[in-house]
Amino acid sequence: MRLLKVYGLITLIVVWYLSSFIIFLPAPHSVALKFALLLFNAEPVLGKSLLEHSISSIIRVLSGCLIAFLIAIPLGIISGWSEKLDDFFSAIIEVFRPVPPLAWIPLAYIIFAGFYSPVQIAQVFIVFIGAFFPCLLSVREFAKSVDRGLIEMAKAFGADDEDILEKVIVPSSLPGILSGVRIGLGVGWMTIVAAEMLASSGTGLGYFIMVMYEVGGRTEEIITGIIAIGIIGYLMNEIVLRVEKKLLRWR
Amino acid sequence: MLKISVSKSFNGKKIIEKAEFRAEKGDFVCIVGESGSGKTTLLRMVAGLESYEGEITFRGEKIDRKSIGFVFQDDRLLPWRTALENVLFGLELRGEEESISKARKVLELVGLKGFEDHYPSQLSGGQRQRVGIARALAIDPEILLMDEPFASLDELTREKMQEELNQIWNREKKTVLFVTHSIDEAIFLGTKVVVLTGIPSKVRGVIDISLKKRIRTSDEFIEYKKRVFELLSPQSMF
Ligand SMILES: Nc1ncnc2c1ncn2[C@@H]1O[C@H](COP(=O)(O)OP(=O)(O)OP(=O)(O)O)[C@@H](O)[C@H]1O
Ligand SMILES: [Mg+2]
Repeated sequence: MRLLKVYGLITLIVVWYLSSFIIFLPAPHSVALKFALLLFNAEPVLGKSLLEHSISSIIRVLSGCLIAFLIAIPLGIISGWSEKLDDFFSAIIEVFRPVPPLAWIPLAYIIFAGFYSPVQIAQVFIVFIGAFFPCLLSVREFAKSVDRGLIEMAKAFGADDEDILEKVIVPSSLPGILSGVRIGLGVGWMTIVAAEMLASSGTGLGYFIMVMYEVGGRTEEIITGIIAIGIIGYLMNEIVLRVEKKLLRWR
Repeated sequence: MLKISVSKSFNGKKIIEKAEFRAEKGDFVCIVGESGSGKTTLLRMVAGLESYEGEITFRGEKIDRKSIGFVFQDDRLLPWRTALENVLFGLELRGEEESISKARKVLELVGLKGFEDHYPSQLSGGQRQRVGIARALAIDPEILLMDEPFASLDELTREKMQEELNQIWNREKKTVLFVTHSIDEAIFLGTKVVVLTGIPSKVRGVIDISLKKRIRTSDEFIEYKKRVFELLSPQSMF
C-alpha cells in the first residue's frame, strides 16, 4: 500500500516533467527550488513568505470553521433529536444547502463593507457558510440514527433527558461530529482560497496566487502556492482522521 | 409485593387480555409462552417503557424506575463504552461513580474477569449478554426484569449462568421476573411459573414450584415439566 502511494507520486512527477516540455509549465525541480526559497523568504512583490501567507489563510479558515462548528454541532444534535425542531430548520437548510459558498462572496464583501477590516470579516463569513452546512448535515444524520433501543435502555435505568443527551445521543453522534468537522474544514479551506482571490486582503495563499498571475503569469510561484494549498489541506484532513481514529477506537 | 393486572393493545389490536399475577418479595417468577404472546411487552410495561390499561404496583405504589434493573432480549450495550464502563452506566445515573470496584466484582460474578476493557464489538454474543446482566445486577435493583437473558448462550455456559443467577438470587432475594422459552430453565430457576397462552394472551395458569433438590432429572422436576407443558399446549384447551 505504502509503496503504491510512492509509485503514484513518482508517476505524477514524471508526467509533470514530460508535460513541461510540451506545454507552458515550469519543470518540477525549478518549482521545488522556488518553493524552498519562498517558504521562509519574502516574495518581493507582496513582501511576504509562503509561510506567512499560509498562516493568514489558516487563521481565517480556523476562525470561520470554529464559529460554524460551534453553531452547527448543537443544532445538528437538536434537530436530529426533535422532529419538530428538525421540521422547523429543514426548510431553511434545504434552501441554503445547494448554494455553493462561493456564490456568497460578492454579497459578503458588500454587507461587511462598513466594518473594521471588512475583507477579513467577509472572508471568515464565507468560510463559515462553507463549513456550516456540511457539518450540520453530518451531525444531524448521526443524531437522527441514534439507536432507539439505547435511549430506551437509558430510560429503563432511570436516565432523564439530560442524561440521555449526554450519555447516549452525544457519544453516538460523535462519529458524525468528527466527520462533519473534517468535511467542514475541507470545504472551508477551498472557500477561503477562492474568497482571497476576489479581494485584496494583502495576505493569504489565494491572494498570493492571484497577484502572481496579475503581475505577469509567474507560473513557478503560482504552482508553489497550489502545492502549499494542497499540503495544508491534506494535513488538516489527516490530523482530524488521526483524532477520529483515536476517539472512535470502539468501532 | 409486586402486583400485575394489565391489558395491552397495539393500534386497537389486543395483545394481552387482563394478565394477572403477583410476586412476593423474593419470588422468582418465570414467564413462559409462545413467541409473540407479549412477554417482552409485559416486562416493558413493568419497567414503565410502555403504556397499559390496568394496574402494576410494587408495595402498593406505582413503580419507581430507579428500583428496576432490566436485562434486555438484545444486549443494548453502549458500543463506545468498555464492558466495565457499560456496567458503570446505571451506577453513574445513581451518582455512584466511585463504585468501580463494585462494577468489577459484578463482572467477575458473570465470568468476565479479564474482559473489563473490551468494547462490545470485541465480545461474543454471550459475553455481551452477560455484560448486560452485570449492568442490571450492579445497581442492586429491588425488581430484576430479565428477557430471555440466556437465549444466546451455549448449553454449558447457560447452565453455569443459571447456577450463578440462582446463587445471587438466594443471597439477595430480589424479586425477579424472568422471561424464557425453556420450560426446563423456568422450573430450575423459578419459584413460580406463569404460563401465557392464546390470542390475545391470557395467564393460563401459575404453577408454584418447590423442588426438594434442583436436579433436572429428578421425578419431581419432570412432573413439573409435564404440568407446564400441559398448560402451554393447545390440546388441553377443551
Ligand atoms: N411497538 C409495537 N407496535 C405494534 N405491535 C407491537 C409492538 N411491540 C410488540 N408488538 C406486538 O405485540 C405482540 C407481542 O410482542 P412481544 O415482543 O411482547 O412478544 P414476546 O412474547 O416477547 O415474543 P418473543 O418470544 O418472540 O420475544 C407481537 O404480536 C408484536 O407484534
Ligand atoms: Mg420477547
